[in-house]
Amino acid sequence: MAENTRLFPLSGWAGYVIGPAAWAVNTQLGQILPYVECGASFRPGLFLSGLGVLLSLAGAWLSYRVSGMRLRGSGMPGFVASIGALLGCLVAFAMMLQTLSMVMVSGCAR
Amino acid sequence: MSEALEQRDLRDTALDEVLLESRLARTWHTPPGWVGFFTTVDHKRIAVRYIVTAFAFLLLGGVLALLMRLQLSRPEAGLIGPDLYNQIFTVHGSTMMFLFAVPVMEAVGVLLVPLMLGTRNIAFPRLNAFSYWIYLAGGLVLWVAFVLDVGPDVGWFAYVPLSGPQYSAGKRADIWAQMITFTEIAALAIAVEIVVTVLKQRAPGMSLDRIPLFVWAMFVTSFVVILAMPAVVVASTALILDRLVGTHFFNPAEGGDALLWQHLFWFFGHPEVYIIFLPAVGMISSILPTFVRRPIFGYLPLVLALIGTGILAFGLWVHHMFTTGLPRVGESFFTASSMAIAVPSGVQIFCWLATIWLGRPVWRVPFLYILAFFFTFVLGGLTGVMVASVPLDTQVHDTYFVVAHFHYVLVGGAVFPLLAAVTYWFSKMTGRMMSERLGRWSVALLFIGFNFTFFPMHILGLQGMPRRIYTYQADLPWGGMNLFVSLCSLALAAGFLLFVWNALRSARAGEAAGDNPWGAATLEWATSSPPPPYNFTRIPVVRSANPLWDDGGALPVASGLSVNRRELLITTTAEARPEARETSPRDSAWPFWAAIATTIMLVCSIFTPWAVVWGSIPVAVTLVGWFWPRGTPEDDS
Repeated sequence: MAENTRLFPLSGWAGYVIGPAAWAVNTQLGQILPYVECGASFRPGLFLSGLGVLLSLAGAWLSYRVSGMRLRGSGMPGFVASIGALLGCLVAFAMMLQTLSMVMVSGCAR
Repeated sequence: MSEALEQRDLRDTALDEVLLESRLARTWHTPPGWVGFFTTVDHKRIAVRYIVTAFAFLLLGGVLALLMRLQLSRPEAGLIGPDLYNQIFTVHGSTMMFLFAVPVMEAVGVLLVPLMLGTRNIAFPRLNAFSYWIYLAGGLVLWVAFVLDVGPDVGWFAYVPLSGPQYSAGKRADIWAQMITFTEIAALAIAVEIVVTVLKQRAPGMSLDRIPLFVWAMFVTSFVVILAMPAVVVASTALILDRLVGTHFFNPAEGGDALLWQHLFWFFGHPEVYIIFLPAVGMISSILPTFVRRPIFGYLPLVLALIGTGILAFGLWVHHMFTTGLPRVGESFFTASSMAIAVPSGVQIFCWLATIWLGRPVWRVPFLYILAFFFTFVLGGLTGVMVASVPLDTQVHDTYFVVAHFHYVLVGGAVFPLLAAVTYWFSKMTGRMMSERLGRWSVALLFIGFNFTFFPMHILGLQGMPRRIYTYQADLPWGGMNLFVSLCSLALAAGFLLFVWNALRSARAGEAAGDNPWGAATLEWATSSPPPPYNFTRIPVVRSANPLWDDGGALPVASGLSVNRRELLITTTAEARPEARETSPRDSAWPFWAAIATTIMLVCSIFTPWAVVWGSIPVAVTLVGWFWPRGTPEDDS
């Protein structure tokens, strides 16, 4: 328990920070990269979008580890971390949809 | 401790209940009459004033809507010319968004957040008073301009180049842009107050997982306000600079970018929808348990939904720009986020349905408004998913389909919950109940009037009727449907008038309410109706998320606060453990004078940029007066 409490300040917030940050960056890249990707053989946007999904899930997992404290009765910190874990999953879902759109739509489409 | 010192630092522990109430009343009271009117910093009085003003603007905006419906009720109607029609739809949209929807939601937050958290006043109460006066000034600027026939005529979004110097001569667009500045200052002030109040002034024991859901909603909303509103402040300032100083932020011929306006405006404009919607869902989550007689189902997923919606709200703005020629793959990113934000909305709907399913519904008026919300908001959400799709949005863009969609979302998603909230908390603020019979008539008129007014607009939009047209030719197939819509809008208006009449009548002659007439669970019902100026005689201690249900009505209390000066209990951010005592400012007229000085500066800066330089001097003088120590017990603490 004590070890988890020490972990909380960093990893408990991971779901709040990593996923939303990756999503914000990916959303911006989605506006910039199509001009580069039109006609190119390699599409960095697709790769970066996929990476964003993984990062977000990683953030969710880090928060999830701390959320176990709630189940063991320590209450509030686990509550915050549980929301972080779920938030990471929600943002990962949004980015997964963005990744799928990159698979289906070409960078040249206007 | 000497007797003099004891008198100066008299604590609530040393007094019995009657003496304590009398000492607290002396310390926290607002002077009667005009002096009190202009100087009060009581969050309840300011909030009620805010709410009444916002409803006045709702009625004014409603009158404009009726005028538009009268004009469109038949083809080639000559009641309103194109210039006046442009002003009317601009002032209608601006009033409803900037002077009604956002302010009224924040005002309900100002009213209820301190009461729900068990504290005696909001953080930065003088800033709160300043916020109201600035908001009122912004509303007056817009409406005085409209009455003088110089109202803005560029739409509530004021797209460039239409609103730029090339196409909008005169001062109409400047008035719109400066009205934005007024209302954004007011909104940002409240957002900061709410964030600090929630983080530091919660009752002891109210840890993050025990905060009422309405407070969570206001907390998330406040962050959305703080992050979104600077974008529109930047945009409107750049527009004024283009128009007044000759900069070229939005002029492509000189290296500017017209599309930059849309990006900045909608980066604010879409979160704006959630600034209105999130408080409404917080209201639902706080009201619903009372009327199904059980705690809310899924507290944690509901908090997640609020935070998730608040974050994803910032990734949707381009879905307002699908027809501007951006790369399709970029647009599809915003389709993705628009679809994803349906997930937290769906989570909330299912949590509320589960709460009702597991409870024992009591069919009172606030609950009926919640049911009206379910029906209309789900329909609006479904058409929202439709217009999030690029091909469909391209077809229905700028048609009445979009008008129908956003009225379903905003009226269904925000106004019905707001009316439920007013009906529900009316008893707390006035000590009287609103009439149940008149309330049921209001619900019926509003629900039927709203759906019959706005549902046909979907069909009109699919038939190709564009928005913002002041008339249409007789050979177009829209006449019959428009007449039907216009007639039904009268029923909607009657519903609102009946609601207002019910409120006015009940405030004077309604049935006495008592402290907790609905048998609710949250802390605002633990004090008297209406609450005293100090809110709580002793600060309650919280041991669960539903303190009035779980503690059997007998709340433990914290003691040790001074009664000779306005003092609050400060608690830790996460666990809400008592941390410090902090003073709360006394009444002051300086926020009013600061608002007057700011108003003069902002209005004059419509005409000359030098007003910013010279106008800042009186603003600085009023701020010095605002913060100048006066030797009160609060200053000496």
